[in-house]
Amino acid sequence: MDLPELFASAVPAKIAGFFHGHPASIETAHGVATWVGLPLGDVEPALEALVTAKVLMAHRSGAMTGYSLTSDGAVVRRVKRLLDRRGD
Amino acid sequence: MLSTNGVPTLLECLGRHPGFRRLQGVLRPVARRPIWWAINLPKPPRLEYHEACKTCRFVRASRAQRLTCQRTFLNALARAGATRQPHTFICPIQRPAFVIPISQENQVTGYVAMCHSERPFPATAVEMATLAVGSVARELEKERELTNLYESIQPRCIALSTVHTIHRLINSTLNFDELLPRLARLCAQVLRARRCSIALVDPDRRLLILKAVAGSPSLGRAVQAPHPVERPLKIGRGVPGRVVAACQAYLRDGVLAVPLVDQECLGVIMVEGKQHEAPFTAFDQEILTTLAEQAVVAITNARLYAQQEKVALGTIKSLAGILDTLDTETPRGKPHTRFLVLAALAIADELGIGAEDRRSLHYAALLHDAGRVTIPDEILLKPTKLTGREQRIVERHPARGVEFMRPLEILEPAIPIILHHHERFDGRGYPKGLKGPVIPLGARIMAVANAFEAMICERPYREALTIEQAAREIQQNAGTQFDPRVVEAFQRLVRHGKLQPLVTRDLAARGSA
Repeated sequence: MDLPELFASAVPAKIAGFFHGHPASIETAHGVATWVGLPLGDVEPALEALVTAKVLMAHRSGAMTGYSLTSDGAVVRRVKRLLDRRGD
Repeated sequence: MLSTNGVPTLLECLGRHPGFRRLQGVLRPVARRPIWWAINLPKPPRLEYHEACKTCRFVRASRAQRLTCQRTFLNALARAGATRQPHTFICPIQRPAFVIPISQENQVTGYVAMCHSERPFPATAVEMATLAVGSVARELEKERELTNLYESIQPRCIALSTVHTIHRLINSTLNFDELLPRLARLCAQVLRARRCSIALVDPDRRLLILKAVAGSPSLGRAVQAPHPVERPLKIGRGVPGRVVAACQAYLRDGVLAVPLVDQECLGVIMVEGKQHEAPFTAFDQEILTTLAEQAVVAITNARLYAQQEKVALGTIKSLAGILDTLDTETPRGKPHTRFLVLAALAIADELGIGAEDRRSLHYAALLHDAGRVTIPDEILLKPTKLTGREQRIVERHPARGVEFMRPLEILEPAIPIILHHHERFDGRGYPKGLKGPVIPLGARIMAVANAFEAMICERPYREALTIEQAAREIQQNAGTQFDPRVVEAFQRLVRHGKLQPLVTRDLAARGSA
C-alpha cells in the first residue's frame, strides 16, 4: 500500500500525526492507542502498516515492540505533506 | 444573534448558558433585536462595527455616527471597568444598553455588552446577565487553565512514557552484544540526533572503549570527522574522556554527553548533531540522564548475567570433563565432546536458532552422554550383540543422565535435549520413541552432530570416515534417522567447507592435549 492510500484511512493518519507531532517519542501499541484515543485492535494493524510503509520504525525485543517515527528526513517531509493535505 | 468583537468563544459559551438563554427570553419582548458585544481588552482603543452595522441603521449611516456611538460606548466601558460593576447607559439613538465587566484575579479583562434595545429593560435583566457572564467567565478560565496545563504536561507525559518504553526495551535483553547497539539506536531516536555513541571504561587499562554507535545521517548533515572515541581514548581526553573523568554531563555546540554512573563511572553516552541543526537543550540533558540511569541498570544486569553464565559454563565444562574421565573406553571409543559441541553449534547457527536455545544446546552437547557412566563395563565392553535386557540398560542412559542434571537449575532447558538425543525422526529411537517435530529441535540437531562425530573420528575397530563419506551416510538417513531440515543445514555447512576447520581444530586440540 502506498503512502497516500495508507493516509486515506483515518487510523494510520492519526497515528502518523501523533508521531509527527512528537518525533522523539517511542511508544508501544498500547501507549499509542492511549495517546490517539483509538482502540488497540485498530491501532496494532495500522502501526504495522506504517512500519511496512517505512513511516515508523519498530524496535522489537522479545514479545515487546516500541514504535517511533522514521529518521528518514524525506519520508518525514512526505508525511507532513500528506497530513497537511488531510487537514486533520 | 450576536455581534463578534473580541472573544467569540465567550459569546458561544454565553449562547449555550441556560441563565443567559433565560435572559434572552426575558429581553426578547422589550429589546426585539439587541446587539451583543464581547470585548476581550480591558481598555479597547476602538470597536469593530462590522456585525453591528447589520442591525443598527445609525452606525451604518456614516463614519461620524459610528464614531459618536463608539465614544459613548467606550465611556460606558471605562465606567464599568473603573467600578468593576455593570453599567447601564443610553446610546446616541436613545436606546437603552448595558455593559458588564469580566474580571479575573481582580483585573478587568474584558466586557460583555448589550445595546440597541427598543424599550427599557427590567433591572433584573442586568443582574441575570451579570450572573451568567460571571459563571461563563469562570468556566472559561477553568478551561483555559486546563488547556494550559494539558499543553505543558502532555509533552512531558509523552517523554516519560517514551523513557518507560525504552526502559522496557533495554531491560528485555541480558545479552550485552544486543543491549548497547539497541540503547544507542533508541537514544539517537529520542534525542533526534545524527549520531549516538556509547563508550565504556576498561578499568584495567584506564581507557574508554567505543562499544556501540548508531546514527541517522538522513536527519541532516552527517557527522563527517571520525570521532576520537572510535579509538580507545584516555580518560580525561576529549569530550567523552572528560565527562568520564569529571563524572559530569557536557552540553555544548551540538554535543550532549552524560556519564554512566553506578558506584563509579562506567562510561559515557554521547549524542551529536540534533535534527535541523538545533542545539540540545536542558530538557534533552534531563532525558538522556534518565536514559543513562536506566542504561546503567541494564548494563550492570547484563554484566552480572554474563559473569553468571561464564561461571555456569565453566562448571558444566568441569562436570563434562569429570564425566569424560569416568567414562569407559569402549570398542566404540569415547565421544569427542569438544568436536560434538562445535558441530552441534555450527548446525544450530546455520538453522538460525535463538540465543537461548543455542545456549541450551551448548550445555546439552557438553553433558549429553553423562548417563553413560551408569552403564556397567561388561555391557560397554561387550564385543558381541547386546541382549534385550542389556539393550534396555543402554537405552536408559539418557534418562539416568538427566537425573544427574536435574539439581542444576541452569540446565533445565537442556534436559529435553539430553533426554531425547537418541530419538530417531521415524520414531524408532529411544527412550520414548518420539517422532518427527515432537522431538525437541536441539535433540534433532544433537542426533546429526553425534552421528557425524562418531563417523569422522577414528575408532579402534575402524578407520575414520572422511567428511564427505560421513555426509553421504547422513544424507541417506535423512527422514528416517534424522530430521531432513537439520540434515539440509548440515549439508550446507559441508558444501561451504565450514566443518573442516572444526575437525582440524578438534584434532589440534587433542594433539596438544
